[in-house]
Amino acid sequence: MIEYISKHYDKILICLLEHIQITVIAVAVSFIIALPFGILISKYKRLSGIVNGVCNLIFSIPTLAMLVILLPFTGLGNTTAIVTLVLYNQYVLIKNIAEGFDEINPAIREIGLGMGYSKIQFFFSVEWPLALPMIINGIKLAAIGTVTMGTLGATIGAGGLGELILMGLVMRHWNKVIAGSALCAVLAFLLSAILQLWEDKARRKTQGIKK
Amino acid sequence: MIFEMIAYIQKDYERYLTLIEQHVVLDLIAFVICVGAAVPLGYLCAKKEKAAIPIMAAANLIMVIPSLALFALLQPILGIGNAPALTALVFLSIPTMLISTRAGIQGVDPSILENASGMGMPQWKVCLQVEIPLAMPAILNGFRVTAVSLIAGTTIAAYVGAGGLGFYIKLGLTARQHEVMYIGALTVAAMAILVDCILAHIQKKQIEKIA
Amino acid sequence: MSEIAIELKNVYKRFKGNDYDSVSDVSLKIERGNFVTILGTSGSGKTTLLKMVNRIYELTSGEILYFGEDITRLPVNDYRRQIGYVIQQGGLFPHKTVEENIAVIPRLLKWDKEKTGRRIKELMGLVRLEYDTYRNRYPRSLSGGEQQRVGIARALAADPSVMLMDEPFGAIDAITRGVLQQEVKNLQHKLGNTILFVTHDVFEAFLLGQKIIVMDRGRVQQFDTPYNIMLHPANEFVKRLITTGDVYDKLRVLSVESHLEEASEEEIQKGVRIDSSKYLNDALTMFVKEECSYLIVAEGNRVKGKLPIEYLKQMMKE
Repeated sequence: MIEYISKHYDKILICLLEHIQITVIAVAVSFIIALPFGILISKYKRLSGIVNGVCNLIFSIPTLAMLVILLPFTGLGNTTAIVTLVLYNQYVLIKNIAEGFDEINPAIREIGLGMGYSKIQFFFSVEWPLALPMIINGIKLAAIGTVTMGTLGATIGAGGLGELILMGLVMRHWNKVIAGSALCAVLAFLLSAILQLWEDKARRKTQGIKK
Repeated sequence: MIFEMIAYIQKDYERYLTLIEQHVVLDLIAFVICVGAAVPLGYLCAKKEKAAIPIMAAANLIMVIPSLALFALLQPILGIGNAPALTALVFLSIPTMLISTRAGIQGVDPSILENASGMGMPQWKVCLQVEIPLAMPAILNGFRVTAVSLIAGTTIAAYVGAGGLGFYIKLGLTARQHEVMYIGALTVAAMAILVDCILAHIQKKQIEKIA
Repeated sequence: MSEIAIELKNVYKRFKGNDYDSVSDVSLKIERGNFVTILGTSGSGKTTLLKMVNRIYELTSGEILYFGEDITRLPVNDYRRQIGYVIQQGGLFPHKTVEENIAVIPRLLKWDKEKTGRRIKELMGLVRLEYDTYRNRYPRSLSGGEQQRVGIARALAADPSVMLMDEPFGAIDAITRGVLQQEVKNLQHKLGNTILFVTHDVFEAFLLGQKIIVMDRGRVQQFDTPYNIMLHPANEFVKRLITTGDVYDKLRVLSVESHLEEASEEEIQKGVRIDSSKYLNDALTMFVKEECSYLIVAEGNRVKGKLPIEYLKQMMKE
C-alpha cells in the first residue's frame, strides 16, 4: 500500500488536486446560486414550497442517473460533474441559508426596523452575522457531499479521486481503490473539521461568547 | 432519442423488466435489514451516551466514504455479485437511518416519558407505545432519505457486477449507446422520485395524526 | 397649552384579510414631555396604535403628526432614528456588546467616535449600569432587568424627543420590575422626553402615566389623567377595568391599616396623610395623585404608621 503510494504519488497527487478543484468550484458555484434563493424564500414564504419542491426532486434523483441525464448537454468531463454537484448542493444550501435567516428572533427585526436601520445596513450589520453559523453549516454539509459524490464523476471521465477507485476496481488493483477511498475520506474529514471550526466561531459570536 | 429508447425497450423488454425487478428486490432487502439494524441502534444511541460515542463515530466515518469506494472495497473480501452489493448497500444506508432515529427519540419531550413511567408503564411499553410513535415523523424522514439513497446506491452496484438498472447506465456509457444509458437513468430517477413522493405522503399523514 | 409632540387624527388600521378594524377612529394629542400610558387587554389595539407611530405598521387611513408634520412625509429611517423604541423582549443584538448595542443609532447617525463614546458612558450612568463592568459584556450574560436597562439606554442614545415603549417590563420578575418602573419614571422626569408606554397592567398604567389612554376593541375608551379615570370612568368598560378584577376587589375591602410600618419623625413631618378609615384603593388613588412612595396613616392627629407603596405593588402582583 505504502509502496504503491510512493511509486505512484504523482498520479495520485494529480487526482487529489483534480478532486479538490472540482470540490472548490462546485461548492463556490453552488453557494453563489443558493444564496439569493435562500434569502428570497426566507423573506417570501410563499416561494418556499416551490423552491423546496424542486430542490427535493433534484435531490432524490440518483447521482449516477443525473450525470447520465446531463451528459448529452454538457459532455464528458468535469463540467457535467460540477453541474450535477451544484444541482444537488442546492437542497442543503438553500435549506440552511433560509433557516439561518428564519431563526433570527422577530423581535430583533422589529427593533432594528424601529431604530431606523436601512434594509441594507440591517442585513450586513445584524442579519448576516446572526445567520452565518447556519449558513456555514450548510456549506460544510455541501462540501462533504461534494467530496464523496464527486467520486462518481469518474464514470463520465471527470477525473479526481473517483478515477483511482474506478480504475482500481476495473483492474482489480485494490491498493488503488484503498488509496483513492482513504484520500477521499481524509479530504472530507479535513474539510468538515475546518468548516466546523469556522461554524463554531461564528456561533460563539452570535451568542456573545468571547474568544 | 425517445423513439430510439422506445425501440430499444421493445426489443429488450424482458431484460428491462428483470433489471427493474432486481433493483427493487435488492433495495427492499437492504431496506429491511437496514431498518432492522439502524432503528434499535439509533434508539440505543439516544438512550446510552456511552454506546453512542463509538457508534456515532463509526456512522460518521461511513458517511464520508464514497459509496463507489464502499462497493469497491468490499469486492476483494466478498467477491462479485449481489451479496457484496447488498452488504455495501446496508452499510451505506445505516448511518442516515440511525441518525434520524436517534434525533427522533431524543426529541421526545422528557416530561411525557416521566409521565408514562409514573403511570407504571414498563420500559418496553414506554418505548413501543410512546417513544417510537412520537419519534415517527423523524423516523419516517429517515425512511425517505434511506430509500432514496438505496435506489441511488443500487445504481452504482452495477459496477461490482450486481443487477439492477445501473447495468443499463454502465452498458450505455461503455458502449456509447446513449439511448441505453438514458433508459437506465430515467427509469431509476422516476423510481426514486416516486418512492420519495409516496414516503413523503405517508410522513405528512403521520405528522397530521400526531399534531 | 404646550407643544403637541404627537397628534393622531382619525387613525384607522385594518390588517390584510381582517374584516374589522384593529384600531378604529383614534384622534388624540400628546403634549411634549408627557408620560402617557396606553392601557388595554390583548387585542385591544394598544400595540398596533403604538407601532403606527414609528411606522412599523402603516396606518390604513387618517393622519399622524410629529410636531405638526405628517409622518408619512418624513424620510422613514431618519424619522425612526429620532424616536426611541423599547420592546418587551429587549431585542438586544446578541452578537454585539452592551457598548455596541447602545452605539447603534449614533453610528447610523455617523457621530464621531469620541462623541459616541462619551454618550455611551453618560447613558450607562443614566440607566445605572457600571460602565467598566458592563461595556464589553454580551446580552447573553445579562439578567432580564439589565438587558432592559441596556434597551432603554440604546433607545435614549440620540436623545429622542419621543420614546415608544411596548410592555418593556412584561417579561421581568416582579421585584426588578418595580425598581425599573420607578427608574423610568425618574428618568423621564429628569430628561423630559415624551413617552408612550403600552401596558396591560392596570397598576403600571396608573403608576407611570401622567395620562392614560384606555383602549378596547380598537377604540379609545378614555384619555385622561389617572385621577380622573379613577374618579370619573367614562363608561362601563373603563369602570370594570379599574374596579373589577381580583386585585381591585382586594384593595377595596382591605383597610389602609392592613399593613403598617414604623415611620421616622422626618417621614411623619413630610409625608402625605391618609385617614385610617380609608381602604387600600383610596391609598392607590393618593399614591398616583401625590406621586409619593409612602403615606402616613393617621386617625385624626394620631399617627399609626406608614404605608409604603411597595406593599400595594406586591398585592397587585399576587
